[in-house]
Amino acid sequence: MKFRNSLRKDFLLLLHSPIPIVSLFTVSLTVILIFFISLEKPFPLPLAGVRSISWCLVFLLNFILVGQALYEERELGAIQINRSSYGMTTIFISKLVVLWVGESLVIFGIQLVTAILFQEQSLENSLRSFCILTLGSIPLLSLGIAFGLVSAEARYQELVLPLLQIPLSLPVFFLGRETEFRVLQRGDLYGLFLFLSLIVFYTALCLVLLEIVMGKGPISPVLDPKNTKTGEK
Amino acid sequence: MRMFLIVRPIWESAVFLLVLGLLSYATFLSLSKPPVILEQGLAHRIFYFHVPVAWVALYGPIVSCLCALFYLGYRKYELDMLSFVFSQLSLLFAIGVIFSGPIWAKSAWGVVWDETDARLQSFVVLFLTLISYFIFRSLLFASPKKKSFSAMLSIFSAVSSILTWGAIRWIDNPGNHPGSVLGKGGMQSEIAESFWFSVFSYHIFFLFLAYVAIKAQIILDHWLEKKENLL
Repeated sequence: MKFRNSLRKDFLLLLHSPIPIVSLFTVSLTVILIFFISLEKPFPLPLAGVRSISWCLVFLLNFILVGQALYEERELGAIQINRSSYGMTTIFISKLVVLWVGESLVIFGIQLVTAILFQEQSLENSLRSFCILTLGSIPLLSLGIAFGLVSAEARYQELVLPLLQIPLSLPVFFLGRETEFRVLQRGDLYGLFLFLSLIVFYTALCLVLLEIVMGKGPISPVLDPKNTKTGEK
Repeated sequence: MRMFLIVRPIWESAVFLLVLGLLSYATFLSLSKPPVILEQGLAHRIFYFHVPVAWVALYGPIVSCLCALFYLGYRKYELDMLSFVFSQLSLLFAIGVIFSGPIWAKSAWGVVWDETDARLQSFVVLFLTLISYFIFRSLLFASPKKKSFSAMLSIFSAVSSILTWGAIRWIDNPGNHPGSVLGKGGMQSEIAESFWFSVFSYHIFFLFLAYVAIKAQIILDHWLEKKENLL
């Protein structure tokens, strides 16, 4: 029940109107157009080039999406209020699910646009790369959410989030790009297995560590629903 | 931990001189004993510095991570302090690797940086993670949280370190970086002698620096505690 409430809250915050998704898609489209105009012609580009552009966009999107999704809650102190009602695992998973759904929608749009602009005509390849990109966005989002929640406790929060999120997301980015290229080019399943292991490992690590370091109940006793003394004078 | 404060300065000076002697002899040995690799010229001798330092830079975060895991289990000040000290040393040795690597690469590959090399990219990630660790730690307010969150970052640094170790083992590395020095069926005897002596010396150097850093940290923490009590 608590998980459903948390999920509903995150869903309402992010996906209640199409504006956030449309904005993200517009940003992505702008970046794709920049690449499209600035890259050397003639097309089609080599497969590795197109895949790298998609991965750069997912990396960028993930960063913007997590930053924006946590910004409002952090500024209003809602993260602390949520922690008094929900466990850290509930908060983490509900955010992950909602952000992943939102990001998957945008990735679908990115795939469509790159396929048209960069003349990537194989539907099978597009579907495969959509699957790998959406799977790759799970650990990226996990890291983003974990560090977003942790950085709420630090000074210079806007600076700390990219500082933590970007270096630690780079292995996922490198391996994801490499895996996608190998799967599309050679059907390399070993690389895919390695990538899936990394996804499970990173997501589980973020969840477990977040629960250990932040799952010790509410920050302020005033926000603790079990604390009956808060109303007394 | 108190034992760090009762060691007499004379012993510390003696150990310092011993470490200095070991490092000097390792440098002399690597410059004089092994044969010159003709294609790379004299610059290949940086191998005797680069590889031992890189080994320490790679397992420093793992030692730090072990201390962090114990800290998360037992919540003792000493464990957090050890984790912090080993992260400091890892960063120091990582800086050594970042500077010595391009010098060797320029003579061996003709470029200072090979953008296709998985080991190079993953090492930079480790380097950035270690820098993030210190910046993040300095930006946290509350002490218990500061220690817990630092432990979390130590664990991620260890993951980066393991990925760096596996970057030339688990995936086909298209870059120039050579494979493991242990997995090539052995080295020439002169090269092996200089190499293993350098490895030994830099490990002793690492342990000595760990001792100095732990002692400095204990003194600093005591001073801060006293200052807080006075206020």
